[in-house]
Amino acid sequence: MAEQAAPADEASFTSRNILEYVPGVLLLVAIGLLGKYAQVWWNSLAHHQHWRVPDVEYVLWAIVFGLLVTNTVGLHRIFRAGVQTYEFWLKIGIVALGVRFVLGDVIKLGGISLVQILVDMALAGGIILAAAHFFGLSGKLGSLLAIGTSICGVSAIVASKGAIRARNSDVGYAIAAILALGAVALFALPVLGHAIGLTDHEFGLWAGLSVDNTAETTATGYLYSEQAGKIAVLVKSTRNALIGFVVLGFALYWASRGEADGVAPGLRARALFIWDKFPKFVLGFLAVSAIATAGWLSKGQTANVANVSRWAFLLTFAGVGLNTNIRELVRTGWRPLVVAVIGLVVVAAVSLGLVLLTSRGLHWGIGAG
Amino acid sequence: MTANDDGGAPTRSERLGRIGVDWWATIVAGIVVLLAVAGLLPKIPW
Repeated sequence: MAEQAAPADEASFTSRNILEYVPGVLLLVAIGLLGKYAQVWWNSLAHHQHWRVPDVEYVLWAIVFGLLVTNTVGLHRIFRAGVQTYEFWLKIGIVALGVRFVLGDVIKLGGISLVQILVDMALAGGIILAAAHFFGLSGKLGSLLAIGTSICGVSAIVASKGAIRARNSDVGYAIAAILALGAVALFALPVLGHAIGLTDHEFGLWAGLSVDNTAETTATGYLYSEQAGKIAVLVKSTRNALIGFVVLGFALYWASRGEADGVAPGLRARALFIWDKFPKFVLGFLAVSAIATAGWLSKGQTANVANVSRWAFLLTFAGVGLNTNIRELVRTGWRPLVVAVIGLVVVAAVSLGLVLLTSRGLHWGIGAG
Repeated sequence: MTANDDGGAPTRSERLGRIGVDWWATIVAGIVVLLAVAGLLPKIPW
């Protein structure tokens, strides 16, 4: 599970020797390009043969090719260091994507999604903690699942590990469950979204609120449409920005029970704790959005930066497939998975209800450029 | 043995190693955007 569980800051760079990354990064590029051209070939073939088949996006092709490699021939260790950099490309893609958002829209959509995230967290987090208790999981595994499922995925679990002094086995279980559900959500949500008839904006909100790991959130959104992908990234970044507050809450809870190291008292110490856990790439996204809003970029250069974001995401999608080892996920054990499935269903249902209420009932919403 | 092991100042490679992935991603994307602002970013096809 160690390779699968590769969390952002701990495992994206596993070696100081830059040459060790080359084979894996080349594999990400190869799988990504294969996915991109498979979409072109598929559409061209369907057009020539007059088939009535859905347009299969490069996102899905890249993930499927990556899955096939990892789960058939396996990933040789020479590729591992480079393949694990996929979260690094994801973050570059997110920062560069800032160029497609006007800062005012970011603040407005961030504010709307913040309300939805807080409602989601309270409802889903409570239900997951209750389900974990019902299935006899340890309190800390329940906490990790609640953090990972209702809030921010693998990065949040890793950020909480030290703070609540969780056991490695609990962390491994929680990460495996989150990744398994990410894979399920990746394929299930776009199908459900089309069946329900969600708009790109609504689906982007839904994916951003309910898919746990940022790479899978991005892929799920882009599987639906580019517009949905952009919204999903923005909403998920807002969720990520809350990591510090949530981890602090759980750390204080476990410390009060004498089962974790105390957090230093005082506002300054707590502010430092939150800053330490804060995903810094969100600041990069906001800075790039501010530059675009200030009008410092020509139309052509804006398109160029947006294309850098697309290429970075392409490597990420290849990495999502290459890092998903189905046999490892099956070995996780059924109980944490059941709790995590309950979490996914609850979060997805609550999020969908919130999205429909706010977009169709209250008419809140904003688009990305 | 690192510089820290013998109590010395951290080496340049150690200092670079302490920069997290989030910051590296922001630095790399920031350079791309600055090149774009300066009109020096070549055409990136998709």
